[in-house]
Amino acid sequence: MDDDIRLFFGVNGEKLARIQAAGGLPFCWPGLLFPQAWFLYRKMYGWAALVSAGPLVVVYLPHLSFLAWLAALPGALGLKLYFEQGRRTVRDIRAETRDDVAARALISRAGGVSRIGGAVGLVYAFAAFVVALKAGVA
Amino acid sequence: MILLAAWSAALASAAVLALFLARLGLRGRLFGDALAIGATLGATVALMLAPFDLRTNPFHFAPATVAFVFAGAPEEAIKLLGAFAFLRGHFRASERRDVVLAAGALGLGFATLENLFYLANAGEGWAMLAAQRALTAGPFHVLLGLAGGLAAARAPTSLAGAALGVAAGVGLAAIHGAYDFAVLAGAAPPEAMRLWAVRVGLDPVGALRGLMIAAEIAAALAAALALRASPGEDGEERDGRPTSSLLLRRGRGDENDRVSRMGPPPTLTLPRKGGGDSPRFQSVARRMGGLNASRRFSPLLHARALGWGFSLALAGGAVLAELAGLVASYAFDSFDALGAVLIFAALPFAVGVMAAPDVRPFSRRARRAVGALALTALVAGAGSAAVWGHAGWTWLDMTRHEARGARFFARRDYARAEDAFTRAVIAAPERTEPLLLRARVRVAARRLDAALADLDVAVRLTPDTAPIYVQRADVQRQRNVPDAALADLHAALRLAPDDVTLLALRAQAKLETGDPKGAYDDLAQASRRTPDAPLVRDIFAAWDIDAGDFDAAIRDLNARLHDNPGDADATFRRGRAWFYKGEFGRAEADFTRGEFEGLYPALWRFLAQTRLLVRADAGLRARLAGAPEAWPAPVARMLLGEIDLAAARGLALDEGERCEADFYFAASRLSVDPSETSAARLRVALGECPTSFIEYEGAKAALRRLAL
Repeated sequence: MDDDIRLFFGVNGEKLARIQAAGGLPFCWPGLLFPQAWFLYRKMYGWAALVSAGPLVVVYLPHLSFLAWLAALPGALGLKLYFEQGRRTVRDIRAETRDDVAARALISRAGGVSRIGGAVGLVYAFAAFVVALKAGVA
Repeated sequence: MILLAAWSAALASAAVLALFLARLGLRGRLFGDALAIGATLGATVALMLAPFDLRTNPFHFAPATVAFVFAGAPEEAIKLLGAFAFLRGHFRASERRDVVLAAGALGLGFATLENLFYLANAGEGWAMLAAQRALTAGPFHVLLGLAGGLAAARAPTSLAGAALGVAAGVGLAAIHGAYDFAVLAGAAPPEAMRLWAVRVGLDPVGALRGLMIAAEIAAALAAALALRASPGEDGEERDGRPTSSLLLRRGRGDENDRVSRMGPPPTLTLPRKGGGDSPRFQSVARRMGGLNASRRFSPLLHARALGWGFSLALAGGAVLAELAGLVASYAFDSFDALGAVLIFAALPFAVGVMAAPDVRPFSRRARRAVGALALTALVAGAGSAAVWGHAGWTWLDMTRHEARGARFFARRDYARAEDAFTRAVIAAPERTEPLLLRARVRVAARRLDAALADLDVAVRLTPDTAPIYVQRADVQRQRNVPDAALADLHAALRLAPDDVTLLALRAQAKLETGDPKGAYDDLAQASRRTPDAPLVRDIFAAWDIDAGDFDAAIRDLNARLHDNPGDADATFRRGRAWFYKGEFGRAEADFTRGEFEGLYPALWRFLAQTRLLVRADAGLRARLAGAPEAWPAPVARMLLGEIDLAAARGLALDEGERCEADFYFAASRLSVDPSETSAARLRVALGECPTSFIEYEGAKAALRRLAL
């Protein structure tokens, strides 16, 4: 299971495995600063959608628009969420696939990182910065 | 509350499209991830475009720029990028078909977020917008997503693959841009497009609708092609290689070698319970694709009955709507209705056909589907015929002729308009509408007696309808029979005693019959009921002018224009009041300021300018150039010195037009010849003119000034 998890983590696998083994609620600085980029980089698409589309949608809700500022919160908890997703994915793949080589190939593909995802997230962050700047100037 | 209702509608339409994708075999984690990626990319594009504020368009980008550069290109490019970068290598995308369907889901996520934004800004008009977008934008994004998915799934990881991806992106952006361009250009096509459409003999607005429909059909065909080219495990034998080898072919470096050594792709294992091992169950599960199929399988979702129900609801509904559009097009003698319905029915029809279970062209099932749709159409047609009966079809025929007549009337082709309305009268002789419309045409053609005959018949057919009396009163006023007009307005008021407009019109008729006191009583009564009614103020002003109190008239009209500064009738009337008062500069300003139709205000402006001793030919000549040759063009030509008074009178069709020629001739001579000759000509005009004519009012006021 640990090997599978390390394989799932891909880049910085050893370091992430150590943090996971330490337990607790690890703080994720990159996730706090660039939640969209970090979630996309780590292929956590659901969370990426939540922190990207969520703030743009909640600003339309009367009295609840302040929730847009909480978008970075899941990013700060990103490591914990990532470990959980990794565990669940590995468990599902292992439950479905009896062939070890095939299972490891799938785990490797399910995990790892997406550099294009990270880049898209940074574009999002830059665009948000420009919009905020424009709103501030206006 | 409105927002939540609007968003619920957006999510409901997204749920229908999600069911469509699920029916095609997309499930589980891949589905969810694709939706999430679509929403993320949608949010990114929205933020990237936000600084340009395209909704208010402060930079005044042309519709083509917004459609292609700010919508088609970035949206399709980022969706294609998403399919390439995130879906093609997704661990649940075990077949080419999985990537294609996931790209459709990506499009759905993108469209749903876009929908939420649009509906959040829609306000009260959300329901219409939600329905429109549910039938067009949502399926459009999904179908283009499916097409883009094929490019993502098939393109090799090489320069050629990149070229293929770019070509696909350009194609999809062109389809998307063409659709958006047609939407954005809307009722005002750009000049180049208008010229092109006219050159090839098309109506520009119709051409835009055609472009929109063509874009929708292109999206549907591209999606159908994508689904056909990625048939899932059923299609393994078609191209001679296992379609589930996507994982192997997409690997890179060591990982690729490692995975290549693992042998055949993982086999699908299905639970042995509830008939799950039956051949049909296995077949359906195989079509679902993906390794998670066994755990997430839902027999209900893939029930054949649900598939047929879904397909028939969408495709059958679209066919029925098209039939209704066909009937409406016949009734209105125009393809506009058919085109409008096709815009909203094309994509639901395509989605319905694609979701039909196992339909192959010319197969038994396809023939059955076509037969079912034809039967539905036949039953609908026969049902309508039975419900409507002969009267209904007669009404349809009458409506068709009326629509043609209305079109000719708008083009001032009165002869053909009258002919069309006559056919409508013959088709439904017991109905008053075609009679009223023909009367209107006959009035415009100055065939007042014929118009009166139509209205007499209409009154006999429906003696309890007040508007017919009002229309007949107007004809009587133009025939210079104010007593008959007054009698009709009495009759109308007996039918609708509380109608303030009728009171004001009766006041006007009383004024024209020489009963200013009776007119004042009616106006006072109308004013008590609705003090600020524009018509009441207008007729009060007419009353003031009739009494020679031009200052009071100007006060009334100032109040009227304060409420509605752009009102052309009030501006024209105030200009005349200034003119009668002798303030020709202010009169000329009003005659210049108003957004007038027709030539009469230009004639009065000419009169004001001659009184100001300003050379006025150029302005009138310019207006005359854009006006039809019909009356009062001969009057304008007389004022410009092109013809003399006798020639103008010779071109007049009736007493009213002859009086106009006399009045404008005399009024234009007043600045150079304020003598008894002009006064005599004005008296002639006053005797000839119907009391409802502004020339009667003008002659009366001018004679009053000469007497001073």
